[in-house]
Amino acid sequence: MNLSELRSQLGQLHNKSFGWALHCCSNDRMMAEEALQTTYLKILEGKATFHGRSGFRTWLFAVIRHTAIELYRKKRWGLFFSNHEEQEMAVEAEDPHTEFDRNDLEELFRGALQTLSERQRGILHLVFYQDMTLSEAAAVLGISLGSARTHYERGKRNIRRWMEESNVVAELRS
Amino acid sequence: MSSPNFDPDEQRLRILFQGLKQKDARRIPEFSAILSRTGKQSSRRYAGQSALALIGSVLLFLAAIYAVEEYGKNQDVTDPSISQWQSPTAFLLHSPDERFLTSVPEFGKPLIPFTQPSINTEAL
Repeated sequence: MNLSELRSQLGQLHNKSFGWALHCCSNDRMMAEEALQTTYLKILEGKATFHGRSGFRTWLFAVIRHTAIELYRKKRWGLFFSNHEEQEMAVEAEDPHTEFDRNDLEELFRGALQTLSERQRGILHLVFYQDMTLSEAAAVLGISLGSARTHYERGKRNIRRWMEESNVVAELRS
Repeated sequence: MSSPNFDPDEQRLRILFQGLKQKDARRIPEFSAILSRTGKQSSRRYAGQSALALIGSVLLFLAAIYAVEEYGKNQDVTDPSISQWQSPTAFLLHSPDERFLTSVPEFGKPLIPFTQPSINTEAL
């Protein structure tokens, strides 16, 4: 795949990639942009190469996930230097769209997702948000299909319990 | 995931995730904006790495000079003192009969030199 083809593929998947990056960065917009930017850089500089062993989107999502993990690690070790550009982005990030409204059903749901394990959350996101199959989701997370199925069922069970406890079912009907 | 369309829980999950998706859609940055930042990040990272490499090599060079100078100084000072140095416990290795260990006995000569006792004849 040449550079222009890569760019075009990345462009087509950009919206979905951002959703996944947001998920991998615990809904932190700034960090999600940083993760996405670093992922694109890795791919365009040839540091991450697509060999065609899986679908392009599966591979791209796996790269985004690894990049987000690296960013978290760097942040933990204090290597995540802030600069003017990031400060500007921080100011930009404080727009009304990112403000939390706790009464909002989506935000409640986001909170409920946070109570799940990382893998359960990841599987549910990939299946229901990204419309991936379980085997594609398993490939993105680097786990077996059987394990993915287990996390999927447990995640669903936990969310069902949350829906029952918080009366979301009735709200969704109305 | 055998029959996603007929499972009410999965339908509800789909609706909830759809809501999140719509909310996130408002926050998506432009692809071109991310790409243009990528170029800046690349050049910034390259500049940062070059600066680090330069500082590292200068520090290494200075450390090497310092080490060579220190080594030279130590050589001058330590040489004479090493030749003259004696262990403070060296005397423990000496014994009165150590000559038996370092000399070969000869025929006709006693190992221990015999000294004739002097007899005071006058006293007798």
